[in-house]
Amino acid sequence: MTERLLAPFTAIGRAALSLASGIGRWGVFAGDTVRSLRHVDVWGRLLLEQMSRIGADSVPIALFISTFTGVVLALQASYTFTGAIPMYFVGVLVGKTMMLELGPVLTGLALSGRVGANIAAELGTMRVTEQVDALETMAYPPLAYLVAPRVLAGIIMFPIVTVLAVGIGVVSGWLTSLQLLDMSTAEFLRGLTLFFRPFDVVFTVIKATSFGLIVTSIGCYFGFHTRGGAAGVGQSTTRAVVASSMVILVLDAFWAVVLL
Amino acid sequence: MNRMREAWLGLVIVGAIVVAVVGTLWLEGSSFGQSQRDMEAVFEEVGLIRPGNPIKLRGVEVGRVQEVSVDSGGAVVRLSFRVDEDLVLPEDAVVILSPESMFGDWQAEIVPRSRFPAVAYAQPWEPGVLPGGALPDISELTHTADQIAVNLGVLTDRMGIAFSDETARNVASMIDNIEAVTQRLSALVTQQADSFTGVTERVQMAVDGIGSAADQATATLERVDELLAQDDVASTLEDMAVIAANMRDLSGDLQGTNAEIRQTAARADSAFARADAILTRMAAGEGTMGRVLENEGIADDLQATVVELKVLLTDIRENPRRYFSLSIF
Repeated sequence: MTERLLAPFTAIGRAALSLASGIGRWGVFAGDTVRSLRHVDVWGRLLLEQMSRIGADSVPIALFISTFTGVVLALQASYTFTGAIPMYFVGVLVGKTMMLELGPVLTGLALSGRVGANIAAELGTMRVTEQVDALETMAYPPLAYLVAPRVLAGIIMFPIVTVLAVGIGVVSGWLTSLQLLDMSTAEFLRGLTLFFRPFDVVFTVIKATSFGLIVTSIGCYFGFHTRGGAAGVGQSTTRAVVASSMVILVLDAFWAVVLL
Repeated sequence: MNRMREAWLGLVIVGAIVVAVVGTLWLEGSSFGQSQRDMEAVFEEVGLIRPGNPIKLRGVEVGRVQEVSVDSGGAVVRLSFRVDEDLVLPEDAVVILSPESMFGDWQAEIVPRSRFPAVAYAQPWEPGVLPGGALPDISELTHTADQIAVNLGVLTDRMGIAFSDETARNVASMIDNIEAVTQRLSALVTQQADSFTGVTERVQMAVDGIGSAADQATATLERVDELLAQDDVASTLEDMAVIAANMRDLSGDLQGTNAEIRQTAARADSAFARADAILTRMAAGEGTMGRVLENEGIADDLQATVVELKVLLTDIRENPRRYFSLSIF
C-alpha cells in the first residue's frame, strides 16, 4: 500500500536523479573533450572534413526549411493583420521572427535530427563494434579523434548555416509578400528595417553557436556511451535527437530571458 | 576531402559571412561609402525613439539614429545621429521627435523652429548641438482623453445631483415662459415688420432721390469734363498764370509798402514820444504853454485876446481900407 502511494514520487525522484546523473556525466564528458583539445594534431586534420559533413552538407535542408518558413510567416502575418495593422509590418514580423526565433531554432532542430542522429549512430556503432576500444588500446585519444572535431565543427558551422537560413527565409518572405500579398518592395523593406538592431544578428549567432555545441556534444555523448548491439545504437540515436531537441528549446528560452 | 567538397565548404562559409555582414550593414542603414557626418541633439524626453529610427528632412530620410543616452546629470537626453555629409540644415534648425505611425515606430525630423514654435525645446550648451523636442504620442493623447472623460463623468454626476424634481419643474416653467415670450416676440416682429415696410419704402424713395442727384452730379461732372477738354481751358490757364504773376507782384509791392508802413510807424512812435515828453513838460508847468496851462489868469487873458483878435479880424475883413492903404504908384 505504502509502496503504491510512493510510486509516483519514486518515479519522479528516479527521473530527477537520472537527469542529474546524465547532466553530470555529460559535464564530465564535456570536460574530457575540452582537455582533449590539446591534441591539435589529432583533431586539426579532421576538422575541415567534419565542418563539411556537419555544416556544408546541411545547408540544403536548412535552406529548404527556412524558405518555406519565410513563406508561411509572410502569409500568416497578412492573415493575422486582417487590415487592422499596416502591411509593412509583415516585413517586421518576417525579419524579427526569422532572426530571433525561427531561423536558429528550426535550423537547430533540423540539424539535431540530421547531425545529432548521424553522430550518435556513427559513434555508437564504433562503440559497439569496439572501434573506440581499439583506439584506446592504441593509445590514440578517442575524444580528440572522434568528439573534438565534431563539436568544434558544430560550433563553427551551426551559426554559418543558420545565417544562411535566416537570409533565405527573409528573401522568401519578401518574394511571398511581392507575389501573394500585393506588397511593394519598399513596404516590405520599411518593415524589415523598422525595428532592426545589429544585436539581432548577434543574438542569432549566439543561439546558433550554443545549439551547435549542444547538438554535437549530446550526439557524441550518447554515441560514445552506447551499450548493446544495433538496438543500443538505435536507442542512443533516438535519445540524442530527443535530448538535443529538448535542450535546444530550453536554451532558446534561456537566451531569450538572458539576452532580450 | 576532395577539392569540390572543400570549395563547397568555402562557399558556404563566405556566403554566410557576406550575408551576415552586408545584411546587417544594409538593414542598419549604412551608407556604403557615402560620406556622412555625426550630429547630436538634446531633448527633455525622447518618447519611443530608438537607435536605427530614421532621421528625416522635409519628409525624406537623410540618416539614422545612432545612440540615445541620458546626459550626465540626467537633465537631458542626448540623441546621436548620422546624416549625409552634404545635408544643408534649415535656418534655426531643431529636431522634432514624433510617432511615425500608431504602432510604436518613431522618427526624428529636422525642421525650422518656426514650424513648431509651441514645443518646449531643450537648449544645448555646446555649439553644434541642435535643440530638440518631442511631440506627444498616442499614449499621452489617450491619457488626456481619459482625463477629459473623467471630468465629463464628474460633470455628469453633478448634473444628476443638480437636476432634481424641483429643477425639472423650474425648467418646465421656464419653457412655458420662453413660449410666452416667443409669442410676444412674434407679435412684436409682425408689428415691426409693418413699420419696417414703411421705413423701407421711405428709404427706397431716399435712394431714388440720391440716385437722381447722382445722375445730376454725373451730368455736371460730364460737362466739367467737356469744358476741361475744350481749348479755352488753355487760355484760361494762361490767364490764371498771368493773374498769379500779378498777384506775386502785388504781394511784392505789399511787402514794400509794409516796410514803409513800418518806417512810418517808427517815425510816428518817435513823434509820439517827443509829443509825450512835451506834454509831460507842459503838465509840469514848464515853458510858455505850461505856464499858460498852470495860470488860469493868463488863459483868461489869452481867451479875451483871442476874442478881441477875432473882432479885429472881422472888422479888417469888413473894412480893410481902415487898416490898409494900397497905392501902386
